[in-house]
Amino acid sequence: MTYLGIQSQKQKIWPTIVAALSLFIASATSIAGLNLFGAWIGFGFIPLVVLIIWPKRANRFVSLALVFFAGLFTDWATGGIDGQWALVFVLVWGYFRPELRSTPFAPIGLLLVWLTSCGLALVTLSVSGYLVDGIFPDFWAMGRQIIFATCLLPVFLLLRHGLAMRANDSEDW
Amino acid sequence: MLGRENPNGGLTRVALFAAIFISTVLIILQRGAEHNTSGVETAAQETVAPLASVLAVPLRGFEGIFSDISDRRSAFEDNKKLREEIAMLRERQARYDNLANKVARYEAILGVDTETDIPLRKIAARAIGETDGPFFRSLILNVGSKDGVKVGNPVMSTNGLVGHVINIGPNTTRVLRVSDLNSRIAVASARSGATAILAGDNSPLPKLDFINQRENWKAGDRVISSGDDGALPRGLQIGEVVRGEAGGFRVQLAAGSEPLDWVWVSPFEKLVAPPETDEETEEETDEVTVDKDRTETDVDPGETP
Repeated sequence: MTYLGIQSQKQKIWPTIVAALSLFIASATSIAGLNLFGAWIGFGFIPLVVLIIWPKRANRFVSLALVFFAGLFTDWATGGIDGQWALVFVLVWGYFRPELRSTPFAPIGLLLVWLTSCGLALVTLSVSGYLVDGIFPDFWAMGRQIIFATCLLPVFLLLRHGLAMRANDSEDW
Repeated sequence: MLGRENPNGGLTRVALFAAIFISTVLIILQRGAEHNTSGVETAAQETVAPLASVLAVPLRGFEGIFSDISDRRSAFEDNKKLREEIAMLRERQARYDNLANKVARYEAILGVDTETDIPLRKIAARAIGETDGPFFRSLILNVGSKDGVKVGNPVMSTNGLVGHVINIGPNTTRVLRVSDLNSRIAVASARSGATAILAGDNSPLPKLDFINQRENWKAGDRVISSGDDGALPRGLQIGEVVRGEAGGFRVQLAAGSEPLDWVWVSPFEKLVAPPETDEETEEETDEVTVDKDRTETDVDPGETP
């Protein structure tokens, strides 16, 4: 419950904790993948799904710090360029700004946000990778990762809906 | 109060730009620098390993469903091919036994040992994580320093060389795949013995660089590790030479596209070159030794400084 739209700090703790835990678990799964029909499908874009369904009510400063560290953690866990995923995570979170979201989730709007986030991530990874290693990434491999993460988006939305209804009785969590 | 701040407020923007700035600086700092694995990376690797181990079981099972379907579809043809191969291999086995006996006799006469230096001991490991990221090709294994794994050890699958160990934690190991941009391996043609460097470029077909005796390389040659760099033992199966689109030689990796589950680490000790001593240095060392001796003998034990 909020009074005149002002939310207590206590109310912001749970959404922040749940979102942060989900993001760190998603980051940890980044090192895994599936080998189907002779093609490797990495889970590298799954954390972005968590980012775009970030709770509106989460404390934004704590969220930003956690998003940044989750990105660094992903870089360390995957043995990649330090700061690369951190920059992607922060940019996506900054582009989306969950606290400014008006409606919970309009399907087409969400899909557009998701695709733009993927595009933003693709450009950031390519430019930063080119800057450090002097080569462009394997775009086919990244395309497969994006398709896989897109397929998981409805599953994550469903999980989020379940959690939000249980915790808040409202989609606006 | 942070909780009452306007969502469009400047503080969030400042924090956001600060985070973007820090990330960018971190990226720029690594430009041109050699990628060395740090303790933080090892700690992160160790942290995600338990989750990856749990995930690996259902994921490999899921992959198995699809591979079972395609295996069953081609079972009849495979069976026929395998029978033909068995017939051919029996003949080869007999020939190989004769040759092995002959070589052993020659070795005994000449008093030499032509055994390969591939260690017989193997450390079995499960590939719990595979990072096929935008710029890196690496694996995480569920064995570490506690199991006797060391940095530089080669990692093999049933088909051939997968890569070598670049980072170890107590319970996990990160393996740089042969196809990774940073991978360089001294290789040789099993047919001609000509040597080259296999340079990964993140493509499925790494290229052959610094080719020695170009005329002795041709498409179809079996590529093995040459052992010239002392980092890997000689004779590890790597792949087969193919012609690249640009005309150069590339290698179709033997352990290239297969799904990796179980692999083994060969605890090969990297060969260390003896310290180089040239004549001048030796002379200088002798002089120093002589001077030292002289000083020692010149000093009268009875004298006090």
